[in-house]
Amino acid sequence: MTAIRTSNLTKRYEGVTVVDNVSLSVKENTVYGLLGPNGAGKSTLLNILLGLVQPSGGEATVHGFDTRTESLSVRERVGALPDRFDVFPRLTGKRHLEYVIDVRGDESEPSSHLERVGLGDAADDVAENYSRGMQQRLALAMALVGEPEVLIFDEPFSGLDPDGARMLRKIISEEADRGATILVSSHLLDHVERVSTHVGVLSEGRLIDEGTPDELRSRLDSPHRYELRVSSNAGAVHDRLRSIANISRIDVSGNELTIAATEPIEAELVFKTVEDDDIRIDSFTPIQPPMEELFNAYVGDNS
Amino acid sequence: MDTLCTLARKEFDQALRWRGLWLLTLVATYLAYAGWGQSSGLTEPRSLIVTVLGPDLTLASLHVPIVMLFSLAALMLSYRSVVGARASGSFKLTAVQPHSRAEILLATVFGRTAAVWTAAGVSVTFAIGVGILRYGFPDAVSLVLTLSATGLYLFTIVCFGTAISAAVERRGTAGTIVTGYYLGMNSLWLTVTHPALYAQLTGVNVLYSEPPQSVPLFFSRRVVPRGAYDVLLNTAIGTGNATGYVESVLVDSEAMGADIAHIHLVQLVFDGSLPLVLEPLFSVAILLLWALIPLSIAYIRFSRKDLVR
Repeated sequence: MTAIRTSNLTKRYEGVTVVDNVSLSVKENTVYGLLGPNGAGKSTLLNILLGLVQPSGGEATVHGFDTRTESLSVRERVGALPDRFDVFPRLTGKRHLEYVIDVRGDESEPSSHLERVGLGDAADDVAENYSRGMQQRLALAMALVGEPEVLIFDEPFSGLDPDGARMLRKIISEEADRGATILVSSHLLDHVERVSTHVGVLSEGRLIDEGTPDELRSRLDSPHRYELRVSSNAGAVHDRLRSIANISRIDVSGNELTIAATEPIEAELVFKTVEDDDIRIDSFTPIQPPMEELFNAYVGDNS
Repeated sequence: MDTLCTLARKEFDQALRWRGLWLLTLVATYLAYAGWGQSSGLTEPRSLIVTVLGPDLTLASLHVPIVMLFSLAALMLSYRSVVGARASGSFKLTAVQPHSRAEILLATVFGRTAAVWTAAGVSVTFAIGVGILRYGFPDAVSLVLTLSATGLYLFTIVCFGTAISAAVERRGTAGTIVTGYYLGMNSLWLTVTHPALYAQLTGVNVLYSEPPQSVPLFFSRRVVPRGAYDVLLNTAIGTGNATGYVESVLVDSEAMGADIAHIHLVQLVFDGSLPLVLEPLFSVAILLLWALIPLSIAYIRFSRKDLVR
């Protein structure tokens, strides 16, 4: 079943195309990471899905509800953490939660949500006085109220410290286990890669590729990566490795070499080529190509 | 409906915690208690006002604080309610919840009106309490009518401010419009509709002319919310079908009598039955129209625009 679907979705502001013919589908109970540099159109796309922005063309549905004509039904099923939001002036964190709990007709206690995001002790403080990271946690708690079928998080890692980012990844994992469909947009590749089962790459308003992280990596020119650790003389090792066919790039850092290859390389061949009386291989390990490389391959310097 | 009430309660809580509201309430309460209601420092007429109004003097004392300060509070609480929240980003936390746009507008109006009513209620309760101790209980009907007129007037202003806030794209634009509204209603409009200017333009000296008087001139003074409220309050207290502060209407009419056609006092300068637009009840319609027309226009604009960018 498809939870989110867009078809030729387009949004133009005063002649500038911000979202350009985007067609994507997000299956139920998946975590879909929407990658793209700032200004790629991610937020606009998510706002269209929430029915807050009217598309100039195309259509979008969430659980079968048209975001243009049935936006209330959409928002009843979606918990959202918007980008660049501000908290309600003069209200405490607890009052923020009370509002959402009432709107959603939920029976839960505000404290349970606040404790989940680590704000239990700050419940009675005015949210305006929270740090940016705490405000981000508060908005996350608000988005989770009522166990929505779909969660839409726009740049959820922004403002979060490493602890906060860990907490968010844990919550995303728990919500996915619960059965929620989660759409996460971010320009922070590492975070998206860690939480997503599927990834879409958005650049200049266009969805330029999508698939599982592994599928996307396999589309690199040199999708096979290895980390080689040697006892000494990495420069000489570098020169010897160049004789192996299919190796397209070798990066050296101290006694560590990162190898990129167009086809898989046998470990035996590497050992045979590198080792002699002076040079010993400490380890030879296949690694994943970083998502960042993939991202850069798509969007170049814009990232 | 439930979600509307929930959002309205949130707006109410937010507005009630605005310190400016309570500062204005403090000043308003002082004015109601110590100043204008007891005659603006006019020593001699004061006894006249006390004599004529008796315990209803307390109700008259609310006129200036409501018109000058609580209308200002209502405007300040409403003019940034939507455009300010959109600019700061706090609107996004509301927009992502399952509220319709009509619900957002209405909840903003209801919540912020309730906050202004609460603050005004504190001030009025204090002023009336002191008034009762000094002058006795005001007439119950006058009291109910005064409170009703005041509630409607403040509601109208919140509607107007919220409508501006929802219709424009920039906080500065909203600020300029409501500043113009406040100054216009409380000062400029009275100048524009002054009989002296009317005489210059039409050659008719209203102040000394015989009935029937100029209906457009008299109507123009009450076609704005401030004038309509004046009429309702004067009617509630029994000082007459008049625009202007209760006290000045009373003092002027007594001092000048019927020799001069006082621009405020309709019954002194019109023969027989009044045109519908000068009937006191028509002022209720005027206030409602000032609430509903801007709000309707704002709703149309608000429902066509993107809620966030």
